[in-house]
Amino acid sequence: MRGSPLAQAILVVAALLLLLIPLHRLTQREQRPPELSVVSAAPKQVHLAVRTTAVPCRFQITFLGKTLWAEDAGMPELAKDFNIDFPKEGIDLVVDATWETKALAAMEITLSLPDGTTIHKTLWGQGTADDVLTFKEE
Amino acid sequence: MGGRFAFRVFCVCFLFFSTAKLQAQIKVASFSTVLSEIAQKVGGKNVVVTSLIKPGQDPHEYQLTPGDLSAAAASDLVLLSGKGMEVSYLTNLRDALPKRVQVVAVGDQIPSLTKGADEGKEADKETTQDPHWWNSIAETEKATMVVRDAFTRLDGQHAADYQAGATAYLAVLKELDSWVKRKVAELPRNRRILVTSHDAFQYFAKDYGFQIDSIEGLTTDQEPSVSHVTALIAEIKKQGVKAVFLENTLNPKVSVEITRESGAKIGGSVYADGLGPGDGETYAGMFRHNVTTIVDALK
Repeated sequence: MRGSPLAQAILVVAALLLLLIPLHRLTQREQRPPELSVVSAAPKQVHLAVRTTAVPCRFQITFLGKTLWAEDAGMPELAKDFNIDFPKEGIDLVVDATWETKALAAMEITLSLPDGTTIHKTLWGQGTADDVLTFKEE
Repeated sequence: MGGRFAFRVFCVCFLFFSTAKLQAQIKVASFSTVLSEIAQKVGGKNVVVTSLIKPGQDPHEYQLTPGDLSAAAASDLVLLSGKGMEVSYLTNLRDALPKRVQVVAVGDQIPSLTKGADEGKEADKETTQDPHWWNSIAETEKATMVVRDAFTRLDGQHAADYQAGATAYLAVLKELDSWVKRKVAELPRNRRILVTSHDAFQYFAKDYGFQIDSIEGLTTDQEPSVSHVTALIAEIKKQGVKAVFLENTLNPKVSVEITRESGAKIGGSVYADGLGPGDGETYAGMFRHNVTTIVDALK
């Protein structure tokens, strides 16, 4: 019954190996990163109105690195609706404008939210103008 | 015989004119890598700049050495970061310098952001002023004008040169600021949460709409408390912060541990305390590297 020493050694090693599995599970560090909560804002319908003091005017509005609205404007007033995230921290719009005239010209951008909030920003330039405009609810 | 005489005359003339040229230059000793660049750009050939703090060196940990003190004493103008950055050696430095050496603490002539009063700590102007003004391009523009004025006071004959140097450098800074605004605009404003090793980016945050959560305080010698690190991990999880940033001069151990516990990733290494090797060899390069690293990791 005592068996051979080799068989006993194999049995002991096998038992220790079996014990290692639950021990490893009990003591291992959690490797899977915890789920991150995602900070995002629900998309809102944003109404943008552009008014320029001089035409023709070519402009491009970029939002988060992508072109949102590009236009060769022959009229001084244009408007469009967009579904975009509008967090409480506000949004940045990159605006590039080119006028045919080299005289001082201005472009006013009005952003309106569904709750009636309206924010105005103006860009000035001679021939060209570009800036990053921040629209934020006060 | 005539040839030898002519050679001697040439040598004497060469030594005379080269020495005269050196004497006309303002000798500047700078205790800031950013100020060294500004001084060189504004001063051009009219100045000789010795940078006592080297690129990549942590200015919070800098110790004044006898060699550096000798270099400062041999200069005409010493440029300091100011706002408490040199507080550990400032008294010794001022006491040891000859009276003819002008000392300009550039940062002290720029409006400060402060820390401490809003945390219920006792106000201590010397230690609660945020010294990291160079992380704002607008503040660096002001620093450029302070350096221009210091050179003009010392050497009014070359005032036009200093004005031209400053104007050219300010144009570079303006273009840089325009690029930074556009790059930062790629990142939603509600994701502009910057977690860094120490609290060096408040000026940057103010300019570009970021919120700062740092592991250490305004200086790099303050070990973070366990409660602070625990709260920071909770904040990272709550806000869904995607990345934590290392600094080129600091040990990343705590930052790595925070990413492990919070699920955020390491977003890369940024230059917090001035210029450094690699992209950060110039101010514009440093700023572009930092902004690209931050925006691309948090997108």
